[in-house]
Amino acid sequence: MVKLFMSASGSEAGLCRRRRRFLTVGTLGLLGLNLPDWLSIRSRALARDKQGVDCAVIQIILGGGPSQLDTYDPKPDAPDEFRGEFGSIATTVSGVRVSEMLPLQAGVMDKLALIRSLHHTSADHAAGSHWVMTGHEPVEANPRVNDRPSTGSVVARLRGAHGAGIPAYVTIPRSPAFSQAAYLGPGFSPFSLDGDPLANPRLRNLDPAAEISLERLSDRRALLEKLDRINRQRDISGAMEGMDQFTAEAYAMTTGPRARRAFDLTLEDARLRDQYGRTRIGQGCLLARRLVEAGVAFVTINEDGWDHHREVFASCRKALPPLDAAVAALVNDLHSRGLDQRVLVLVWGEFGRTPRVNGNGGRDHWPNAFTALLAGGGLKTGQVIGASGRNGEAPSERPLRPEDIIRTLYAFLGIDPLQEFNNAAGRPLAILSQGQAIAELF
Amino acid sequence: MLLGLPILLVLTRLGAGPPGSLSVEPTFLRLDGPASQAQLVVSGQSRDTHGRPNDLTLNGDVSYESLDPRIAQVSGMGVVEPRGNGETSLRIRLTHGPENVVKVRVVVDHVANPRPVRFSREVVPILTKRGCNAGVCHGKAAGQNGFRLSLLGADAQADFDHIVHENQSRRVSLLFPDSSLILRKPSAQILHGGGKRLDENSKDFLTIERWIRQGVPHVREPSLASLTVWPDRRLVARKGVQQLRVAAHFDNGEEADVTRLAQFQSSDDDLAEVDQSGRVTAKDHFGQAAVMARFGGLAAVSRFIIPLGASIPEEAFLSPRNFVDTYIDAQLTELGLPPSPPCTEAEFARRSSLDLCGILPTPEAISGLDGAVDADKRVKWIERLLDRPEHADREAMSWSAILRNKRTLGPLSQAGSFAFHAWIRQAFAENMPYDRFAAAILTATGDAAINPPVIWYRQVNTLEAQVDDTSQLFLGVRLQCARCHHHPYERWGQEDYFGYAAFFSRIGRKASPDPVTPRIFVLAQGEATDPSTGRSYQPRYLSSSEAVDLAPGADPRDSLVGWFRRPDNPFFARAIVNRCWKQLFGRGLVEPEDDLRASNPSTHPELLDALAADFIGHGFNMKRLFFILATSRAYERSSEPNAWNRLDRQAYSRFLPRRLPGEVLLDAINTVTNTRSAFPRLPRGIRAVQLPDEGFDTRERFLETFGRPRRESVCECERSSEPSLSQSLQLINSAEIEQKIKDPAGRAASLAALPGLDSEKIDQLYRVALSRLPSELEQTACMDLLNRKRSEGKAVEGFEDLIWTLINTKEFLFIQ
Repeated sequence: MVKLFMSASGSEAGLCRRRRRFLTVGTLGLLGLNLPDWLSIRSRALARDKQGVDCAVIQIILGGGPSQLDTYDPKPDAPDEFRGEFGSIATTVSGVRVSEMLPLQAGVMDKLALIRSLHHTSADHAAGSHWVMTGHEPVEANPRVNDRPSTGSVVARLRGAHGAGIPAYVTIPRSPAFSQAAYLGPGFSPFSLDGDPLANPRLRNLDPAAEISLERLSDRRALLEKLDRINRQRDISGAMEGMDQFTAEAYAMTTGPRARRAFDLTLEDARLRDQYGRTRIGQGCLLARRLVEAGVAFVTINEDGWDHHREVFASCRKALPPLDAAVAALVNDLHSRGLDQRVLVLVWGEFGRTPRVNGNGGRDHWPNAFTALLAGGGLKTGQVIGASGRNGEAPSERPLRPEDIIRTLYAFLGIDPLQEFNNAAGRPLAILSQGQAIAELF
Repeated sequence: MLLGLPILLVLTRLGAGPPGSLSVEPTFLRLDGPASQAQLVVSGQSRDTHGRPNDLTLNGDVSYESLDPRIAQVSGMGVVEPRGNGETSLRIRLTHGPENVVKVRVVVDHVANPRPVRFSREVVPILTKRGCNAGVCHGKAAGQNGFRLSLLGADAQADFDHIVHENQSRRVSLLFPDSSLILRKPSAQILHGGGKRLDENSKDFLTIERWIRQGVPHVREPSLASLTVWPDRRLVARKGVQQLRVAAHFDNGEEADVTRLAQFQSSDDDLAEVDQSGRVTAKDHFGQAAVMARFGGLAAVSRFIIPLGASIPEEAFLSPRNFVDTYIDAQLTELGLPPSPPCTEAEFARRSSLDLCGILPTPEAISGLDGAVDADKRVKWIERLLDRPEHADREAMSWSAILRNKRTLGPLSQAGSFAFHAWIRQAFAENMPYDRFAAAILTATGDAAINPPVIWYRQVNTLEAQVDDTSQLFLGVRLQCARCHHHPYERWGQEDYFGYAAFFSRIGRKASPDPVTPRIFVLAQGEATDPSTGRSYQPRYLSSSEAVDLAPGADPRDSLVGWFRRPDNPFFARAIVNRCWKQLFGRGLVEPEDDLRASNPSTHPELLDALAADFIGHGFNMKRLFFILATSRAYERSSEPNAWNRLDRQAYSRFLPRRLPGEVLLDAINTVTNTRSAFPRLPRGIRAVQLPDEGFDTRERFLETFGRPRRESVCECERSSEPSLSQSLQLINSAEIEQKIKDPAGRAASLAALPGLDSEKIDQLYRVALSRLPSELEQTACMDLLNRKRSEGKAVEGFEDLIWTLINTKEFLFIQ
């Protein structure tokens, strides 16, 4: 096999600068790409290397499942009972229209890519969430915990944070369902902010506790290493090893200034904070940008409340403007800081909603067609991929599934999706063997 | 590979060599109609398999022969199909080895003269097996693209109406059966959103076609009484294979082989996989797995033990303390899985004190246990623990959470939540029989000030929540699904749900002196109504078909509790013994512990039965139950793995460590630092385990960070023991912990001030925090630090650092 390219360090190669594995011609097919695709990705990866920040993903999970018709996939020509109350507006990309509730994102559509043909087969919140959070349909119809590691956990495990003193995987404001690490071990589960960034712009327990010098902390740590010797093999749940790992991260975070600064929104310009919106999602997005700048590899912003079985339009009138401002500000900010090649943004929910409005003026669960938004990451933006038919009921072209989106993230990050990890029973399981990276985006 | 070579050498081999004797199941079968089919299961027994049966159905060692192929044919996979009416025999023999023949008598009918296709027995199962009526497709409440089926075929009548009468009857064409949409869609002759589901030449396609040609008959059919799977329990070698046979039994006495139409699912794909023909393949790991077969809304389970097969030295099993050990040891023997030896006295003291009382044992108590010479000193230790007031505190902590004792309305709720917590605590302190405990909550009436369990109805204040909470909590039955549709894996339908709900339909509420807690009284009448159909229901016990006769003015809840208490109630006692088992062993015999159903079988069903019978036989005595569990040999095993059992998580060959619950951990840190956590407006010195409701936490939210439940559901699973970065930050670098360590009246300061040898002070610290003495190495490491600090004139700092270090060890943070 031919080694396509190697990074400056000589040991690793891939899309992102750090911790890359050999990418060989043999693996191209696995990523669903051909050689010219790769060469073009490579040239952009090199451009990215100059940006000085490691690759990272910001995922916004709209829990409950937002309506595709009232957001990114309007159907102005559909009958009334499908179309809904909102009109559609033109965007900066000719021919692409979005809901009139999203004027700010319409203004940056050239920096966005919409996937309108997403679909899967789970109409339950739990199963659907598991699917979009991991790429895997759960084994049980109504799972409670991760069968498979979340995408963020895989990234934390394989890429880690960029530098010490900052967690690899953070959830804002708290961890959504199925964001955990499963058999990768609890050490790769997310660091949950556990607080609303709007109300508490700083993180607790980062300032050195009263009068404990770094020297003393390192004394303590040295002694702990000598005394904390219980056989970790006693614990098959992974909790002990997870705790060891978190403790190591906690040392790094408390002994350096990096995390403290990164988590402190008060250091941000007030006007920029306004642009993102003084809302939970707005400040969450701004915090996410600070975190990826500081080296966090994967941020999940958990913005739920989209399960609009009743009065979907009134609910959207309230929920969409903050989302619109936050996403548009984030995308603009990433571009103006030159982070657009290295930071990929993904916005989606666990499914869409029924195109036909129900008797309560709401829309019900609809996994048969929904939309995901992608931005940054050096992807080809300003395009719509796939379509959902006249009334938004089912993919009419280029049907794609959650696993295709997640394979796209892995391709961007240079993660080999076929790498295997053993589950608790010792069975080797590939990270994500189904799906293919979406070639049109590269 | 999990095992080293030397271990492999001692493994006994299963399933190798020629079988000594043959047997077949069934020995008589009846095939009825052209679509019928039956699966044979052939077993061999030999010295090599230690007399245990070994599946030969599929492995080519046996040959099948029909004496009259014009009547019945049999494939090399043991599948029998009818060819003509009449009677014949099948002969099954070993291909090699000793001459050994078994026979199966076959009677075939209704092939030449087919009788009407039975819609619910033959057509609906096809729709189920092919996924048509699954929840993601036509089975969801709104149907799919205009075509709606009942979820997993639970309502055959509705399915018949939708298929035959809806859509201008285009789904079935009596004139041109082949053009029926019900055939053309799933076979993808025309566009079908769900893709191709049915091959045009398949038996299933032909069955549906025949049904249409016959004019879509819908005759009254015998109803399905039970489902059985054969074998229902087997030892299978690693990588071994076992064919299953599923039989449906109807209420008119008929039996039919439904292997082909059943759906199969393994409880653990890592141990055993099953394909849709009922063929189970064991993986290369030891353990046990259950394979579920579903048909017609019922489930049957076959359990597989996949032995490790190590030879166990006799001395590995100590003499059983009680019946728990008999069952646990029997399974370990069967698995060939050697258990770890008993833990030390100090480990036992620590483990049992934390589990049963939520406290660290004092150094004096440990010395007492260690120094005692009587053989039953651990038994006496447990007896004493169960009589301690802290045991009641510990149980009240769990029960206050799952009974959702909350201050939803802020400080106004406090009088009630405090009273209810005190009542729960008192019930455990005086060892109130569990049936009385449940009854007091369920039938709570009057004012909360006089009868605190009324508080339960304050938080659980809708009929739906009362049904969901009581069935899950007291019966381990999840009825929620059945509110809207038949439970996907269980027999529960809407009649069961609303029949159960009707017991709560006469609850009246009116204002009481407590402004946020209504008075509960019993209405003269009331019934449960299904909002989607408007149909009303009389009270009915789960799995009973008869309504309960209620006198006017009677409280239906009394009847419900009466049924809970009945010795033949299949749920009530099992649910609580399983819950208590989990408290001590870290996982339930059924897991999750509050989801008991045929399709989620126990790892040790006979033990669960025995525990439940003992519990009922002794008057629902909670302390006796805890006593039996905590004095078993199974509970006292070391958590240190031996060469074989590291991966065991369900056979109890060793103790599985788990992190201290948040409340217990905070109390333990206070014990080690000799400080207290102050909770506003509560008496000084109250421990976290004793907190009456969820409205209290430390300023830095220690309890929330360490996974205390929010009491938003009846599920024990709300409590989390997952580690997190926030927890580590809190432990190593929070002002809260640092203040405790540095407290001028705390342990570090007082140790530094006391006269005496530092080495003895280190001993004492170890005994308080880890319930043991330090090793020489540990003693030296601690001494080095103390000496250095003393030389710098900072002795207190030295003790502070030691305490910080000990509370950050995994040995401290985990029960082991």
